Amino acid sequence: MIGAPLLILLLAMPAIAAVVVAALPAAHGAMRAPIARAAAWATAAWSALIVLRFEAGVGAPQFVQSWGWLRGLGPDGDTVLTGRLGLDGFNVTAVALIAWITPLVLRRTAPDGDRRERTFWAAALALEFAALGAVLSLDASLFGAFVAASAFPLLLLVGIWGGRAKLDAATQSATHALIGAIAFAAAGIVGLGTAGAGGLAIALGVIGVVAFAPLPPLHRAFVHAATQGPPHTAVWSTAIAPLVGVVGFTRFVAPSMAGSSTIVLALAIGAALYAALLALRAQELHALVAHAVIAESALAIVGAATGSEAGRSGAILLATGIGLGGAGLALVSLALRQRRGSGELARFGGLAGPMPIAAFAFAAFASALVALPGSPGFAGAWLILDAVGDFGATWVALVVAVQAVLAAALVTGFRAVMLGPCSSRNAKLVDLERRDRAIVFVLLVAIAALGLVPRTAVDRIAPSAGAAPVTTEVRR
Amino acid sequence: MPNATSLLTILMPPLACAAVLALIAASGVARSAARRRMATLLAPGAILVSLAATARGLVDLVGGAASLEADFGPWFAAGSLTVRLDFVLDPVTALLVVAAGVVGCAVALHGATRREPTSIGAAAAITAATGGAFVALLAADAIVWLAGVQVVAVAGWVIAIDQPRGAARADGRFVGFVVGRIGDAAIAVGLVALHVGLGTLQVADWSRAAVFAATPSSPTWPVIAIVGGLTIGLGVAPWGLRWNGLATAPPRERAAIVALTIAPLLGLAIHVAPLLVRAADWVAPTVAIACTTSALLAGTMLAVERRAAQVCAHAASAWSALALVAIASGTTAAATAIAMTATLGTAALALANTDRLARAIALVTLGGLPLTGGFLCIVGAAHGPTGHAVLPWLLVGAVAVIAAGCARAIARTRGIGRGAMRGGLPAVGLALCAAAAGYVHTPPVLAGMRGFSLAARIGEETGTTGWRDLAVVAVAVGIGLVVGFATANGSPRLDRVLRRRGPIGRLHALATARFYFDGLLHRVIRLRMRRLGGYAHIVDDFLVDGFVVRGLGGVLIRITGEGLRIAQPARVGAAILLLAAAIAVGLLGVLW
Repeated sequence: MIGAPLLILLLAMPAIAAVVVAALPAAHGAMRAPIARAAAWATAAWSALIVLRFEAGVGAPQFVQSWGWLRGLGPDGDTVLTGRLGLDGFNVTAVALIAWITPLVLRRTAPDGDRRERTFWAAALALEFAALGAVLSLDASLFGAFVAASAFPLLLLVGIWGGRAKLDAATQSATHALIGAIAFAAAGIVGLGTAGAGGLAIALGVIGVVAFAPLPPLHRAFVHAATQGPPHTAVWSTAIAPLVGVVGFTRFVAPSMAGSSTIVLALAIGAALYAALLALRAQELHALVAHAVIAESALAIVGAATGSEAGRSGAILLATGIGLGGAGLALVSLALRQRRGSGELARFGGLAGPMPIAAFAFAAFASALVALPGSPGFAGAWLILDAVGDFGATWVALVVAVQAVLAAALVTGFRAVMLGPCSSRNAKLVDLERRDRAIVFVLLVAIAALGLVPRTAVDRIAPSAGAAPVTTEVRR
Repeated sequence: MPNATSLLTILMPPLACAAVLALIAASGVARSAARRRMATLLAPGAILVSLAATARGLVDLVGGAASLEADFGPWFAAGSLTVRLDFVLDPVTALLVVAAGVVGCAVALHGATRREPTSIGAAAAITAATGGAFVALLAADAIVWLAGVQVVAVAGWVIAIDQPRGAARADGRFVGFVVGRIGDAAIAVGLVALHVGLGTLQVADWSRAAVFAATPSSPTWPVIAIVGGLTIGLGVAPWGLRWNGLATAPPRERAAIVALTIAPLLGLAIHVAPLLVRAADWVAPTVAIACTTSALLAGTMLAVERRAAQVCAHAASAWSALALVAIASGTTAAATAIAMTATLGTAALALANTDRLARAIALVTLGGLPLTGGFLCIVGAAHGPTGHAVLPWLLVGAVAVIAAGCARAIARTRGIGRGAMRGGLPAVGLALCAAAAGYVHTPPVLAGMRGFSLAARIGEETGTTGWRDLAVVAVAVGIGLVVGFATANGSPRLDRVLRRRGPIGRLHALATARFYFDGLLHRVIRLRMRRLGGYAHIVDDFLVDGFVVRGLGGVLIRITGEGLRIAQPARVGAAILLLAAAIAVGLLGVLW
């Protein structure tokens, strides 16, 4: 079965479904939603099968498929970059997360009855295809190509279904995705991921991650996509984009930069602190969540930048926690914004009374995001702290300080939304409906499972994190 | 019974019960008060099962076993870090588990037996907090300990969801939660530094000389970080700040649950004691003197405070500070006694918040704590690793002030309230347990029982006991009690003077103005962070959004637009524009 194209099939499901949905004639328009949903669930089931077949304790990528995909490179035009897909410790949790979050989120965010439904379903499935392809890529250029594939769906989703500033947000999101993609593709071409990667390749790789992950100073597009974008991109931005960025950095950039770890460490901690401070003064619910996710992503980058097995394992585990917690928080924030008609924090208050389940879910997802016990982030954060400890206690204190500021920001947000006096208008708000509760339940079960037994994930991640990096293949 | 089964029987019932109660709460099946009461009664039942298993374990320990250990394998491991699910029940931890279990059970029982039973969500949180305290107390790995403590903190804070109205209470909980996390952060830094230095986070290794012999690094700075974090978490440094907000928020079981944090925090402090011995010489005396001063200040607040909740908060601070003095002095028995009494006593005071009878009983029984704790501390301070000449006398002063504070609190809360016994029974029970815990440790210390002393853990002699010390403390406590009762009952004028003038009055004014840690937290941390957040937003809006997103042109438009907007309301906009145009034309002329 190893030689079978398991991963190609995984990618093909959403891609083919997106084409079919887009090409379906108007007379069969009613079929679009069922086809898209079925494809998303089939992808999730297939991913579960692959993840279950994944062998723990093996550092090398499994189910690898490769082909020559960029030809005619080099001065003589005889260099071929090999495109490879594979499943290893860096992407095993990401694949499961992307494949399962997409159908769950589509239950909640699909614009039923919209005449532009065709575009929505096609773009949503294309986004899933791009994200899965990016995390499965074992080559930097291929990673960049898949990231580029996400730009157009993002442009459509945010540009059509976004809020008041949707055109700005759509342009920025697509531009940043393209900047990240081009930087990564260029980095791959100049040697990122190969044994002798130079400074230019590392710099391009860092720019790519900063643009797509995203990290300050290129984070505004991400925040715009979360605050101005439609529900689907709000969840996608907070749950999946950071995960893809962290996987890309950990796999391609971190192994190449042994000599410049301290600089990247300092930059990443600075970025995390900056984002945490922005979260502390956020005035809007989605902005709060987006900035918190950015800060945590930067901390995951800190772990990867240490270059140690513990740090890289911690980065992937923390990113998984960010994905689960971020998705949950984005969904709860979405429900609150839709009920109140605004996401401004000042308009909320005292909602724990009329919306106890939303309040509980908000607290639980916020706890997962700041890596409290019971979430996968707790183990991830400790692995990162241990790895950072090798650089000195000052770095550890800085990382811990960022976590404390972030916790204060989320607790402040919780207090503003859920506690205190409740206005008569807020008192009439209804709690999460059944489909929301179902999604919240599934996400909480996943958080608890990975949080209480982190070993199931760490045992699969650590061998890859401790193994020699998988380098890009260049043939002549 | 095998060790693993024994320890699982202690750990699992409350955690499983919390999960079941959370599911019941979420499903909404228990709508009527009767069903709710039945569901909430699961909580004390589960904790009682744990307590029975602990009692069984204690019997085994008395029967000769040094400790019961069970290793459930690694929780997670990568690189050099391996976190094991390894649990140990020894005499010290067993006593602290009993204290935490009795508090959790009493709090849950109090909630379930009220006329209007507590919500199922709150019962789940109480049970989760008790389970978290058990995990922390039994953990052999410091990271598992931290996980348990954070479960207690989060469960205590989540109860706020049940009671959304009341901004002041929410503020109290918020401040308490954030302060607790600052303490956790300091402890985390210390633990990582310790792991880098020693290569282990197993608390049992901290008392093994071979571990220290294998590494040249001194644990001085990690110990300071951990002890600093503990003082913040225990409310020793911030004057019970952590409890203040929570203790004032009825219903009472939600305030009492905070007492559950005391036992695990002091449990870790007891494990840190061997590290204190191996740190630089100045560390243990400094910790002892600082904590004695803190106890003295908390005792002062106790003496002048009128609100029961504040009495509870400051008493908890004073006792925790005394426990830390005992740990720095190398007397585990004293620390265990004080930790148990503080856990039980704080919960008793919180539960008895409005029942005058129960409160009076709690205060009367806890009034004896200075005698016991002070005696045990002074023994350790005089003969243990701290060995400081001034410390015993400082301790005597602190103990006298705490005694006076307790006496004044007792005097002001005497009398039997209507219907006091109904809700007060769990509090009375807790108070009696507190008194028993406070006094039951004195004979083992006087007899020099090694099983309960730190000396047995680190293989070093720490000190001997003396009846002279007991007499000195007894006299000091007596003076304190007399002064306390006299000022509270006999002379209102003296009472007024004590509160408003003199050194104690000034100290009181200083403390109530929150110039100490609370002010520090607000001004140095909260305000600074908010201001920094404001600056970050300015940078984000002007530089990042302008320059990075919209390019240089965006920045220029922003700056000129902002300039014009500022100029306009000043009614000089046109003049400035004309002036700018004239300057520009002049410059062009010169350049031409």
